[in-house]
Amino acid sequence: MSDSELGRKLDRCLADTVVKIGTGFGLGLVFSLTFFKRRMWPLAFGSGMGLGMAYSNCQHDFQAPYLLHGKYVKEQKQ
Amino acid sequence: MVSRVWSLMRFLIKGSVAGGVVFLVYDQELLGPSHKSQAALQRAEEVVPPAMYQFGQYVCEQTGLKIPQLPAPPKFNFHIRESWNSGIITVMSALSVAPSKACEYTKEGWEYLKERIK
Repeated sequence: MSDSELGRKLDRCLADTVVKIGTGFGLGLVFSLTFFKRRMWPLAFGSGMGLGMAYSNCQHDFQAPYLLHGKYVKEQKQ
Repeated sequence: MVSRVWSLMRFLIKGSVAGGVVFLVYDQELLGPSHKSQAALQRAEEVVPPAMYQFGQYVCEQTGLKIPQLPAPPKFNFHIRESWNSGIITVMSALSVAPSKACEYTKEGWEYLKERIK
């Protein structure tokens, strides 16, 4: 992986993390205010979900060039 | 009867607000792939500052207040990535020569002390 490609992937990861944590926090805030009587756990749950999704995306993004894709080939009996 | 209708109305309003937010998140693909989130963030960066500026102007016009203009932020010609990389290289090379340098300085210090004691 070249330096510029690594930098681009890091930038994408950072942007993705910010958006997903913010979205999770926002969703948690809305649900906390509407259905869960202003409790704190929906905010924590939403932020944690967003962080986990961002981490998973980043992990897949960095591992993608090195993942091998194979398939099973059935033996043909003559 | 009125309280039941009011509680039903409240539930419907809350449900529509929550449903609208969920639909917005789904429509803008904010929880989707990383390139979509990056595009959404770029769209927000393009749209939000002019909108906030126009809102500030509208408030100033309506209330007659004048918000003082902030000075432009200073621009730094400082490349964080390059200086970080060169800093890492410097630190690692210093750590790699640290044991040999420590031996060398210890020997020199010992020689110096021996000469001073003589």
